[in-house]
Amino acid sequence: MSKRLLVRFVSLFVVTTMLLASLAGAVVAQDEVVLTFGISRRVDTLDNTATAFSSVEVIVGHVFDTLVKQNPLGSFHPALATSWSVNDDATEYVFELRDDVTFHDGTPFNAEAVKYTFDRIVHPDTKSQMGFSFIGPYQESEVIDDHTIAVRFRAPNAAFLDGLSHPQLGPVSPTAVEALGADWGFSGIVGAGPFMFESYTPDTEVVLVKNPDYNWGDEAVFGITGPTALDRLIFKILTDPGTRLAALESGEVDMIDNLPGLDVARLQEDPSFVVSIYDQAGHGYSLMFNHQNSPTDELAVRKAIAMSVDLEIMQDIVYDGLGYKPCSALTASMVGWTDIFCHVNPYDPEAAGALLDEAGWVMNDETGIRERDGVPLVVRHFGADRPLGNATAQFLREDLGNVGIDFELNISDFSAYITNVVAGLHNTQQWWDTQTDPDGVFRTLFHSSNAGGGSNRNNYISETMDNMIDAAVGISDQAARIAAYADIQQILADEVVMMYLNDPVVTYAAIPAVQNVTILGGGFVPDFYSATMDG
Amino acid sequence: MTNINAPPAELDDVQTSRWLRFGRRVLRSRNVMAGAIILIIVTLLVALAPHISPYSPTEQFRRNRLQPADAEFILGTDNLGRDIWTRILYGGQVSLQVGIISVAIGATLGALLGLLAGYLGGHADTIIMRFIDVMMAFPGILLSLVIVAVLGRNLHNVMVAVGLSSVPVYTRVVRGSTLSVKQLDFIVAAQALGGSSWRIMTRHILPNVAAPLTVVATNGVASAIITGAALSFLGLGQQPPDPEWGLMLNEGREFIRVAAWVTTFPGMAIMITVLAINLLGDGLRDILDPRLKL
Repeated sequence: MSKRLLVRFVSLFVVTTMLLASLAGAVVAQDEVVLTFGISRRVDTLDNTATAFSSVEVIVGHVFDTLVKQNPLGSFHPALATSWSVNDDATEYVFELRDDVTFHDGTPFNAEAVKYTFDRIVHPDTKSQMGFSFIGPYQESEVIDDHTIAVRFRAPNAAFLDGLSHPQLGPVSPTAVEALGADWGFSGIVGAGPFMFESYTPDTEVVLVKNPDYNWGDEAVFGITGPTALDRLIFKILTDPGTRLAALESGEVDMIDNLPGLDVARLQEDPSFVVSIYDQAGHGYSLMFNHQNSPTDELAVRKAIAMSVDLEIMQDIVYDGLGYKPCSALTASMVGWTDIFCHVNPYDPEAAGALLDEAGWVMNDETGIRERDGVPLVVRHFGADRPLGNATAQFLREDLGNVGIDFELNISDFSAYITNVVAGLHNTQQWWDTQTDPDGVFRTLFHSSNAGGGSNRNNYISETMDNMIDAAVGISDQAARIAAYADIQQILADEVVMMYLNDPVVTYAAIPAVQNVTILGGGFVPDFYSATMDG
Repeated sequence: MTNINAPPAELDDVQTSRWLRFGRRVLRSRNVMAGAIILIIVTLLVALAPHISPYSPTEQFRRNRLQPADAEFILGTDNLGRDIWTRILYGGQVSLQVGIISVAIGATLGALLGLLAGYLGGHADTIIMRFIDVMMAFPGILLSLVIVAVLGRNLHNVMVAVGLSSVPVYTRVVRGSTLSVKQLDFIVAAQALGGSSWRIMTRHILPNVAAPLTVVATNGVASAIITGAALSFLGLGQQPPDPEWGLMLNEGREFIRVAAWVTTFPGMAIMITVLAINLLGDGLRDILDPRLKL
């Protein structure tokens, strides 16, 4: 009898609690302003200092404020640093820091934290990728006083302000990094940005909440200062284009990036969505040649591949007519861009065949594949299983097959792909990234410090190139710097270090309620600090 | 009455008439006939793909990208301008192969284990069946996924994976039948005459468990085709650019709103083939199941 009574009490209690909880939830939900963004690219880690993906910037830029901000036009504004000075050869930068800033964990932001962040990026254990490129030839940081710091470089680094404006160099809370240990970047991140980390479910979503104490927004860039209007900012990771679009159309998310190309026109006509399109800055879609493996260690083979691909029609077939035919490692909107590559390596399959003949790769008419000393001309391509990557790979295979190159596809799941290309098993692999300064592009792709498993999966190791990249970044005269980058592009074209497939456009679609999103990072980084949800 | 002087020819007559009866039942079963006819057509189309199909399965007609069905491309083209009809024909070779070979692997291993477990009994039975129970604990598709993930992405591994993951089904069917058959007098007689276990299992028991095994294996081909396609759909089977039905579904998924034919036709190919095999399997079960005999 008493047992039954107990059961009744317990169930009554449970039901009441659930009712109350749901009521409370409903009340909170009504007042909360939530923006949900469907992001097309994956997250490797939320550790801003370590990530290998430029796309992670879109998420972590809201958690980590930077020392300087770069507005959409490319000029630099004070953020966590109130002012700065640079010496003549750009080897030393001195920053005055804000003294009223605290990290999300309550610890103060100061020169020590900045030094800690930069030292962490160059520490080998961090295995930093993007941050490591952005920080350039870093030597040391010196804490002059609590809110003054000097940053020194082994060589001139005129691109440092650009690097600093990326959250990959955004100061982290040293206390939090030490406390979280290996969980940093997974179960927590602590910066000084307008949003605080709440949760991260790998391959699913990242939830950020408003930082109510935020009082150092940059009005010149965002038009507001003080806390954000959003209570919650959710990033849903939706790598599949169809799923992402369906999520927008069903109202599950408020905004998405990277629209399926064939749906752009339809959405533009639909009044329930607002479509915006930006030319992507920095780099685009490209194909990396592994210079350490045969046969892509041969110039003739690389050049023949570059000249055999019909890039003109590829824009329509693979990229759905979005973006432009590329002619450089830089996209056409970048300072310093030249189209020299297209002149040196024009589309000409016959000339490509002649090059291969000359190099001793002779067509075997039975197999349709060229051979030299009985070895068939096989180019091993490694890719992760994604619709765009698969279409690209099959397009390339067809064109290269026509000149007698067996472009062998090894398409696998993402983790197997990464393991294989980091180990350097590939001849070719696809690349995509975006930057805002030419130095970042060249350093990421061609500097030997990023070879051997890093972002230079060309595994291109050239002292000449390293010196040219390091020299160019130190030139503060704009015209001279542009000339230096033209020289670099000439070598990249002559040696066909890699080839370029598409200068992309960045596309967004949102419901009309989403307003005042600031698009930074050369079109690629939607910043939701200033965003509002009307209605 | 038994005529001990009767010539052996009479035994042949009995067997012949048994086959005749089976044949007559087959012809009378609408399911079996419908399934068999569709399956024969599918198999012929697929086997003769190089002669029937107008193009090469990987040839890209880039100017005719995502074109709906017309006289030139009777089922339309995909995102790279490849002829879908041609790709379905060639893709069928892969799908049917996966179905048949993986069932061959699964049924052979499963039947062997089932015979051993059922006939030997005791510890052998306990060990084999507990092992099978462990495998049964995993859903077939999950087990296949794990096996392919371990072995690596290619078609042979898909066949092995789908085959291995279906072993438990065959083992249980064969063991069950073996347990009942081994009680029968002619087995006891064979044991009394000194027949070895192996001989009794293969010569006397196996033919008597063949009927249920055939039924399960026939339906197994259908589910193996689906599992194989599912693995390719998930990017664990056929390596592009060669066609496979599941892979075609995957590649067309992105264009389903603007070009539904890219996914519809491979989907229909899977549906028709699987339906035909299931009809055949169900029909055979009706004919071969002794409990349903009139």
